[in-house]
Amino acid sequence: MSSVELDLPAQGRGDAVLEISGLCVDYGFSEDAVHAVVDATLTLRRGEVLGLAGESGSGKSTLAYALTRLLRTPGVITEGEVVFHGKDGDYDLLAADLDVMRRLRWSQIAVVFQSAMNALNPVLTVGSQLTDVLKAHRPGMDRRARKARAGELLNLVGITADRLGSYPHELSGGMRQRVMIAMALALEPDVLIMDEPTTALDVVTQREILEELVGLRDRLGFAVLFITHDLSLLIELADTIAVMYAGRVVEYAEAASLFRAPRHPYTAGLLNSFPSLHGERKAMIGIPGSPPDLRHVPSGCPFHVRCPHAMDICEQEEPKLIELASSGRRAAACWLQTEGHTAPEALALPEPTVLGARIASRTGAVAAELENPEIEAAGSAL
Amino acid sequence: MRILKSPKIAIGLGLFLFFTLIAIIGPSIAPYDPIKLVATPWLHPSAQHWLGTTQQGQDVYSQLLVGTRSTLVISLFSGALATVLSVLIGVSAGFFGGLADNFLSMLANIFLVLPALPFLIVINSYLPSGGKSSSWLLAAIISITGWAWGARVLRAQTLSMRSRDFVDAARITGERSWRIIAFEIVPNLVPIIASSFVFTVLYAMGTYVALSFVGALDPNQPWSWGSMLFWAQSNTAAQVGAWYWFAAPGICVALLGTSLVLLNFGIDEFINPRLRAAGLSRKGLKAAGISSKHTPGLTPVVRRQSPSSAAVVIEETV
Repeated sequence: MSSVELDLPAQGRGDAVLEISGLCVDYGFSEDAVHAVVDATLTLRRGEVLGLAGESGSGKSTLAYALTRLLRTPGVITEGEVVFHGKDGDYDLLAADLDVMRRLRWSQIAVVFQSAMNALNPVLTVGSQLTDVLKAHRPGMDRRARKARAGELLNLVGITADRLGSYPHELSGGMRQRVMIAMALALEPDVLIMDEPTTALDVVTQREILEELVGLRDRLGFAVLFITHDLSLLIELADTIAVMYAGRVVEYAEAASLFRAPRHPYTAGLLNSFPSLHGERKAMIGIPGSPPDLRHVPSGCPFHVRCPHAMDICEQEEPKLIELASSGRRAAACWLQTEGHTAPEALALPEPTVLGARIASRTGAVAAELENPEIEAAGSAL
Repeated sequence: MRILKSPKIAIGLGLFLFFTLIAIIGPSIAPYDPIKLVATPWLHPSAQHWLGTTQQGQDVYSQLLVGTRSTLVISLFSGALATVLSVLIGVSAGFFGGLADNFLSMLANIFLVLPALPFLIVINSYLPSGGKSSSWLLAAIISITGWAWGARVLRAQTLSMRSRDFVDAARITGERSWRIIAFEIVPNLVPIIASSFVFTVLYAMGTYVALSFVGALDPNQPWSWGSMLFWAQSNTAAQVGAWYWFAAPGICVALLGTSLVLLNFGIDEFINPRLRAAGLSRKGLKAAGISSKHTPGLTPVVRRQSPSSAAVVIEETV
């Protein structure tokens, strides 16, 4: 990865903390089961923000629910492997029973959902809900210590500790979402899974919360699996991005590489559908057609019906997610990137050389502006 | 139709249709006149008299066939009437609120706590000709005690409906109250109304049978399951050992009741997909080869390959 991470000790940033391989998730059991996630392989490294992007119904949330085993019936995991490298050893999440999952959830793997702010109980103060967690999971703490910790947690997400006595309705939506993030972080998890945590908020609040999140990540060192349909947001926020389409991971790359040099036509299509503030004016081209019905996924590559570069083979055989030559880790599931095919110019752009630019953008926006103006611009154009 | 796939609906509807058929053709296929004395008294079931004969020598099987019609018709009519009452009162109480709600809710509460059977016996005895005149009148007075439960449920649901966005939107676009009730709210209440109707029919049947059984109604006109029970009881059928006399109508009451309850549960599952999903997935889980005792809050893992390969995977990773 980038130079920032090379300086860290071996146990630090960069080790895999959550490894998902070949995960398949179905809704239903029989022949007419819907394959919502097909053969998803992802690795979340310690301290990394891994973005998962895709349209509605592309299986991103299903993936997040499945790997925490929170998916309700008729959801069922049919194949694959999810390994969590926790503080106290490795866990096979798909073989774990309820006791193990109960121990891991929240304390090591925390989840923040889209409308998480509605999960706050309206008749209890924020403080009592925060201390409740600590009471259950940190039995050694006394009342005063719990209160201090709750205040500390609120401070962490940019809310003053005197808000502990507030009821949820006295807080704005953004503050409530922050409280939920604080709650998720209360037990210092290694992995934070966020499923569209800011979708219900306006862009200003969204940005504040995300900056807070990245700052916390830098300080506390947890890894984030960030799920959103907002690719431009991910480009600014994430270290690595995985793009999903029809339940499949179609492209996986470092954020800057993905933004500058997409290798899958679907990613390129997504990138073409939001404007850049700086730089030349380009016509925005949407992706023709609409996302596939998961009950009737097209044969071969599920994207071929909407793909401007579709070839005969795309219709017949499904491309595998293959590693591509790159300075970092990247992979794409596209026949154009296989041997014997030449990718069109738009899908073979050279990768950016300054990989550290985006990481610097978090600490100093000005520096990023100079080095990599377009990325910053994409982020502002949410 | 999807709703028929539910075993509850299928069995319930099957039983109910069977009794409906008997109610229609029963009197014409009955081998004897139910009141006529056709054989020796106290005959046990035989080929001649399928369900034996009564103390007076009447054919029990014929009585059962003839009695189905009035039992079913009075229960259905009374259930329908009570449901109409409960929709009118419950929905308007919930929708209009305020004083109207207070008054109507109070009325419903009074009818809920009223002991129905004594109340009905009293009303019945004050009616002209002691209430023995018309079955329709009888059905109407049974429905008076049967509407309150449904009205409370519908009022509660209407209360939650009336403040929803789509009702507000209808109000803002200028729809009149009756139109909002008829086209926005009531369609959303249909499942509840359906299940409340089924339960009220069940209630009406129980009440009708009970009223006949205690002798508050004319035991010969119209002939019903309740009057069979009345005669069996007053002629000490149980002591004599003529079990068929009271068992036949008793089992019929139980079966019709079961069919209505099954229909009600089936409708419930159909309305609330979560109940259905639980039922279906248990079957599905069994078909997929895992224990039906899967833990909630833990997504099941069912490998498509053979189970032994799954074990290998786990060994490798731990």
